This record gives sequence, structure tokens and C-alpha cells, in this order.
Amino acid sequence: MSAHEEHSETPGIGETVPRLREEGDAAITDPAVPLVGDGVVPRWLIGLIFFALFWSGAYLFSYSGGFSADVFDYLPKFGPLTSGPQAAPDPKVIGKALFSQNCITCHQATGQGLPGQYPPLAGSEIVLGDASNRFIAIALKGLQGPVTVKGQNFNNSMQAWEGQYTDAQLAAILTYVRSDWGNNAPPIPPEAVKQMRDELKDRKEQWTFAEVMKLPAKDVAKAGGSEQQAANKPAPGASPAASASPAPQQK
Amino acid sequence: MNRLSKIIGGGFVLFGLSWWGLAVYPYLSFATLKANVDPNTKEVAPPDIPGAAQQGYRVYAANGCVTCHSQFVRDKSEGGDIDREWGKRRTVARDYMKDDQVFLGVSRFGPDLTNVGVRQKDAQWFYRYLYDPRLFDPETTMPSYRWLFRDQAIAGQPAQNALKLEGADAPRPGHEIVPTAEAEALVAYLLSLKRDYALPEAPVSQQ
Amino acid sequence: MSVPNQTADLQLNRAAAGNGSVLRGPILLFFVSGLFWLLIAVALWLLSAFQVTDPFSPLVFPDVAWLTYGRVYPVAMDLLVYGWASMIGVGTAIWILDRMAKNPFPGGYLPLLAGIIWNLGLVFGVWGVLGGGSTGKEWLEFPLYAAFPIWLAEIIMAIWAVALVIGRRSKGGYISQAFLLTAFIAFAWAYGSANGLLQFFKVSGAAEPAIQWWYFGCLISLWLTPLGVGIVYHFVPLLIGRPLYSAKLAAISFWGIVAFGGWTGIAQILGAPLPAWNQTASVVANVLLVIPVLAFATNLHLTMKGSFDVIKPNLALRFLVTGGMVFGLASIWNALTTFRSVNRILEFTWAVTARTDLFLIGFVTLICFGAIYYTLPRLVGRSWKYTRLIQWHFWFSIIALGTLVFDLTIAGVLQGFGQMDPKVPFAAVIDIIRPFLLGYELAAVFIGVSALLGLASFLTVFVNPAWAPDSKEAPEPVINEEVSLA
Ligand code: HEC
Repeated sequence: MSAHEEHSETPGIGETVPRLREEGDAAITDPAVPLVGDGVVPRWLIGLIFFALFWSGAYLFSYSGGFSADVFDYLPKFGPLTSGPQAAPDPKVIGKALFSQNCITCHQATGQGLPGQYPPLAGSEIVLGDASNRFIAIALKGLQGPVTVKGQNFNNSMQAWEGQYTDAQLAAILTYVRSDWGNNAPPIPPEAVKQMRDELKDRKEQWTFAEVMKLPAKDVAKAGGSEQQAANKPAPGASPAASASPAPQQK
Repeated sequence: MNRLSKIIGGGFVLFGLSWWGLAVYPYLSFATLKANVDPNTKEVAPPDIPGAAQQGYRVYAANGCVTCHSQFVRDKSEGGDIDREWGKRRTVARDYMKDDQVFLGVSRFGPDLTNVGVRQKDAQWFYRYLYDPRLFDPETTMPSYRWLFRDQAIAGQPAQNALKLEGADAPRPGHEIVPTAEAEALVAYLLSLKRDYALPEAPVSQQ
Repeated sequence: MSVPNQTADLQLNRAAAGNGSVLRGPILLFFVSGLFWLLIAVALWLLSAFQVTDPFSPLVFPDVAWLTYGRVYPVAMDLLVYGWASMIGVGTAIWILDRMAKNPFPGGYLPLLAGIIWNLGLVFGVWGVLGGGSTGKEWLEFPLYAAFPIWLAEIIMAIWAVALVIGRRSKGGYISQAFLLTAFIAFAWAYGSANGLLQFFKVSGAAEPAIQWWYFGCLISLWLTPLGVGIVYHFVPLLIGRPLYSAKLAAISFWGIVAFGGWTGIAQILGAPLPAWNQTASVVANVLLVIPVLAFATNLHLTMKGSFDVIKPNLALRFLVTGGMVFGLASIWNALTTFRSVNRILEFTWAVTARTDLFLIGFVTLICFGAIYYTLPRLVGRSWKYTRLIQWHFWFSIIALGTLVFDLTIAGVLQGFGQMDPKVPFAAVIDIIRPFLLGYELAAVFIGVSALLGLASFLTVFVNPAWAPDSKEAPEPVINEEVSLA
């Protein structure tokens, strides 16, 4: 073995060999392996290493969302984390979702209904009028036979929804219907639906339009609603309809 | 222990740590995700992906749409995506739980497509856009995907999904341009890109 | 185990000569195929640059599926990494490991086999992606039938490397061995597990991008980086005929890269739907990676100290040292742009592309050519004749790199600020960077020219008469002042 190799025992990162190649080395003109010196690590680099490790620890612990798998934002969010749908249900959002499940097939996503078949909800007198008891009554029990909306005649049938939805759900749907497509009428609180449900609990069959118009006009939405709304008030900004309600009532 | 085994062993441990932390850990923690069912509306979020869209992944992948389009919305604290109305909220892991293939992307040479199905709801729009994006913006750098469409003679009734094209793009008389099955799948996929529902960890109403 | 005997001495001579080694064939195979793939990659890149700049360019073929930008550009990038950089890296690694191990039976057929399989994988990959079989995952576009052969070749190479080092006859060890071994093992692991999880086990959901970008970190920091750094550590001291400055600095650079490298990838997709701590850890890793890089740069600098005048005439050294310098620059730039405050602006822009290109076209490609200029003459027993050509090659590479990176970075910064401002419509953001796309085209042309110059230089070694291994003159390209000025 040549002198060149005796200095190094084990393979590794670096053998500290503070000497140059020797005379008589087999690989003198074209060596295969470089030698390694034992130079010192500069002070500034050592300082930098400690600083970087310290910094990275601090950074990692400040911006890691508690090392949890379901925190995605590196900055902690102030205030309640769940201001989501469960925490502050916005009746219009829920109402829209429910509307899209059933109502949409006839009344359409545009609220325009289908000409000659299903009446529009956008701009409908029943939907927007002060006689909200009639609006709720129709939704609860359904409607059958000829009906006139916005000057157009329809003759069809809508099922009763009272078995399908709870008070809160139906209230949400009706509130939504009163707020989209240019509609702007006060929300229907769940209490109003409950009140009507109790009032009409003996009625089993669908209404005809004539019958429902005989119900004495009463704005149940207004009567039970206002304090309830305040108590129920969702997170700020979630329900513009609630704050906008006084305006349309002046008409 | 000699140096060699130290290097190999140490390398394995250090490297394995990153493998665990960035590949295995997300996999294990996301494997247990469940769809959110809203207690009030019984609405399932994220919604199921329609069958037609499932085929569209492949076309999207095969044609490298991901080289120009991203598919995730960052939080307000991390960029201007929400200001640009590419989404109402940041996307979270649950948004992708039903996706077979996820194309987050690192380039936005084209707009983000996370919510393109919210912005455009009409398949015909997408067909025309893919056929010739310069119908919409004469300068745009979005490539045309003309080969995703077929020129065919009109047999009887014009096909329902034939492209409405005018001017220089109009088909020869008696012919029409219709999307191939690939184009249909791709557009079904694009139409399904809607992450506008709320999730507890990513509420929509958050400003 | 390592009893000095006749064979070992014979072996020593064989290894020292290089020329005549059993591994000569495999190494040449890797070199030649690497260059071949470089040319294909650059041609496709050029095509894609023209397509992306101008939708009305005659090079846009909207009716030809396999020539659309979304297929061409990924193939170009994949070939640059898996064809060009990896092939040259592997070829050079074989050379280094073999000469250090001095093993009489270095298993020549294994690297040969790996080289053939690897090339087959690339052919399938190009075919697959252009033909519409891409997975749509950046840097992992190759479908399973292409990824599998490549992975197999990696495994073969990893086994070969480990076996060679374990069965070595020489007692000596050196830092480059550690880097190269780590690269082989880490890459086989990373490529295998990324493709296995994504394509074979079909992991779905948000874990996909996590795996994908973890892999990207490994590709850059645990495959290309250790290959390049190992090569520089090995050749630079040999070229200037002095020992490496410090073993300790070398150790810091090695363990730092191994420890932080695997964590760096996720920072490419900050803001993604991945756990916050994953993303923050990745930011931290990118910053911490600067430590080993500085250790490496310092080591290199202090080794070179007093010999800087050699850089000018010795072209192999010039490529290697410049590559090392660009590496330092790229890492620091990478760390600076990974901070969220900067990243939120630059993310998704061409500046990110520029960052990767600085690494691939700057660091990796310069090192690859440096390695070729050093190794090839020793391998074929001839020295370089036309050093002028190599000089041209060097300067063209630098100009191409500079044009590309400057142009795209500025474009990216403008694009980033444009995107941050919701009042600027999206189409206007693209209009801002349109002029820079012309610069991008130009840069792509320069890159094409420098690749051609590299190929021409490569070929010229074969026209020179034989070089004697024990001659007093070095075989690598050295400018002889009188000749080159004439
Ligand atoms: C070369 C980069 C590029 C590729 C590849 C690309 N796009 Fe685009 N895409 C763009 C650009 C740029 C725009 C924006 C056009 C404009 O607004 O001027 C765009 C816009 C779009 C839009 C309209 C988005 C909106 O909100 O208006 C859709 C949809 C789209 N691309 C889909 C695709 C699909 C699908 C693919 C793959 C088959 C694809 N793109 C591939 C660059 C690209």
C-alpha cells in the first residue's frame, strides 16, 4: 500500500491530514482522492449557527398553530375560532340551502317560477305582503287550484311542508324567500311559524287560494318577532336582513 | 460503530423524520377526515363529485393545466386571493377530501380555478373558452384546445352541445363543432370546482 | 477485509488511470445520454417558451395535442432533472466512488444495467407525458410505467454504491463519498415513496400535494444538491492540488443538508391546505439550510484561498467554482424569498420559476459540465483540444443564466405586486409581464446555444490524440495563454 493511504483509517466525512501529497505517491500526477485539512470553523459561522437555531425554534413555536393537524393558518386567529355556520346560523344561508333542495324544482333558482305552471316568488304579493300569516299558512299546508300572482293565473298544486320541516327550518326558508331576487321584506321568525302551526293544527287539507285569502290579515312576523330577533341575533354582519327590517314596514 | 454506518444510519433517521413529518403525517391525519353535515340544513360539505367530473381529472392532468393554473385559495394573511375574489375563504384539507386527484399548482400564469365553477356555470361558456380563448380576450395567453373538439357534418338536428361560433371561427356550412368525450369530462370537472360552502374550520362569513 | 495484495495494487493503478476501467462504458453511457437528454430538454423548452409568449406564434399547434404547452414544458423540465442533471451526476458519482473504493470488482454490469433501464424509463416518460399520460403533478409527471424503471435504476445504483463502499479495498474516505451515498439512498427512497404513494397506492385528497412537494424538496436538496456539492468537494481540491480546508466545515455542511433538506419542499406551496406547522417547519428548513451552504462555501473559499488565479486558466475548475458560488447565491435567495412576507407576493409568479431555474441552470448545470470537463479526458485518455470553445461555452452559460434569472425575477416581482392589488384586472397583470416573456424567449435561445456549445466541446475531446496518465500535464481544459490569445 502506498504512503498516500496510511493516514486514513475509516471512511467518513473527513480525515484531518494536514499535509500535502508525498513524494512517491502512486497517484501523484492524477490523484484519485483529495486530502483534508483540519481548518477551524470560523467564529462568525458558529455564532450564526446558534443564532439560527434559536431563531428557528422561536419561529417554529410561534407560527405552528399548536402543532395541530387541522390548523391551517400560521397566524393565530383572534376571537372565537368557530364563527362558522353552527356557531351563528344565518337563517338566510340555511334557508337558501333548504330552498335549493325542494322548492327550487318548481319556483326555480331565480324565484321566477315557470310561466303558466308555477307562480313566481320574486315580487309576489303573498310573499311580500304584510299578511304574513297567509304566507306561512300556505307554506305549512300547501295550496291547490287557481291562483293569481302578479296578474298571472296559475292552476296547479303545491304539497304541504309542515311535515317536512321544523319551525326553524321553515322560518329560514321563508326568510330567505323574502330576501332574495330583489325581495326585501322582514324575516319570518320561527315563533311566527309555531304560532301559525298551532292555530291551524286541525286543518288537514291543502288550501285553495280563495280560502286562504279569507284568513284575517295579520303580520305574525312583526308581532312575535322583534325581541326574539334581538335575543337570537347572530354574529355581527351575518344577518343584514335583521337590521334592514324597519324600512320596508313603513310602506 | 464505524463512520460508514453512522452516515447511513444517521442519514436514514434524519431523512426519515422529514418523510414522516411531511408525507406520512399529513396522510394519516387527513385519512380520517369526514364530510361536514350541517345540523340545520343536512347539507353535506364538501358535496359529492358528480360522476362525469371524475373523468375530467385525467384530462386536466394530461394537458398540464396545472402548469398555469392553481387550485387553492390562501388566507388573507398569506396573499391577495380573497381580495381578488378567487374565493370567499381559504381552502382547507377537507375541501379536497373527495377529490381523486389534487392539483394545487405553483403557478398563476392563468387565474386560480378553485372556484371557477362558481364564476361560470354554463358548459357552453367553457366549451367556447377552451376552443378559442381569444373569443373572450383577443390578447390572452391561455392556449386553445381545439383538438378537444370535433368537426362533424350535421345529421338532422344540430347537436345539443354544438359550439355557438361566429365569424372566423364558424364551422363550414352544414358542419358543426362538438366537444369530444374528453372535453365533456373536462368541462364537467371544471363545473364541479366550487368551494363556496362553509366549513367550521373555514367559515364563509369571515371577513 | 482489505488485505493489501497484488490485485489491490493492480487495481490502484487501474483506478488511477481511469482509462481502461471496467466502468468506463457505463460512465460514458451516462454522459452521452445525459447530453442527449439535455438537447431534447432544451429544444422542448425553447418550443414552450415561444408558445407561452405568443399565442399566435407559428409554433403553437392548437390542433396537435402532444405539442401543447401543458405537455411540452413539463417534459422539458423533467428531462432537465431526470435526464440531464441526474445522468451526469450519476456518471460522475460512479467515477468518484470507483476511484476511491479501488475495488477490483466494481460491478460494472450493474451501472450499465441501471443506465439502460434509466434511459428506457425516460423514453417511456417522454412518450407517456406527450401522449397524454401525465399525472399532472409537477416534477412527478411520469406515469407509473416510466417512473418504475427509473426507480428501479435508482435502486440498482444505490445498491451498487453501498456495496462498493462496504467492499472497498482502500481505507481512505472522503466527504464526497458521504454526499454521494446519501444522494443515492435518499433519491431512491424519495422517488420510490412519492410515486408509490401517489400512483400505486393512489393516496388522494390534500395528502397528495404534501407528498408531492415533500418529494420536490428531496429532489432538490437531497439528490441534486448532494450530487453537486459532492462533486465540487471532490474535484476542486484535486484541481488546485491542495487539501480541502476543513473536515469540520465539511461535516457541518453534510449533516446540515441531510437534516434540513427533506423539509424544504412544502415552502413552495405556502398557504396550501396543509397543517400550519408543516408549512412553518418548511420555511424554517429553507432558512436553516443556509448554514450548511455557508459552511460549504466557506470551506471552498478557504481551500481556494491563494489559488484563485487558477480559476481563470483552468476551465473545469472555473465551471465548478462558479457553480458552487451560484449554489450559495441560490440558497440565500431561496431563504429570503421563503419568508411569508415576501412569499405572499412572489408565490405563483415567474420569480418562483426563476428561483428553481437558478438552481437547475446555474448550480446543477455548471457543475455537470465542470464534472464532464474534468472526468471525460481521464476516461477516454485524451485531453481537450479547443479550449476556446469551452471558454465560449462558459460565457454563454453565464449570459443565458443571467438573462433568464434576471428577466424572470423582475417579471415575477411585477406580477406579484400586480396580483396583490385587486384593482388590477387579471389580464392586466399578464400584460405587465408580456415584455419580459420576450426576454424569456431570448434566454431560452441562449440556453439552447450554450447547450450546443457544450455538446460541441464534448465531441472535440475525441479529436485530440491520446493523453498519457503519467504525463506532467493535466488533461482537463487549461487555457494556454499564448495559444488562446493567438
Ligand atoms: C399557458 C398557460 C395556460 C395553460 C397551460 C392553461 N391555461 Fe387556462 N388560462 C390561462 C390564462 C393566461 C388565462 C386568463 C385569460 C385572461 O383572462 O385573459 C386562463 C383562463 C382560463 C379559464 C378562465 C378562468 C376565469 O375565471 O375566467 C379557464 C376555465 C381555464 N383557463 C382553463 C384551463 C384548462 C382546463 C386548461 C388545461 C386544459 C388550461 N386552462 C391551461 C393560461 C393557461
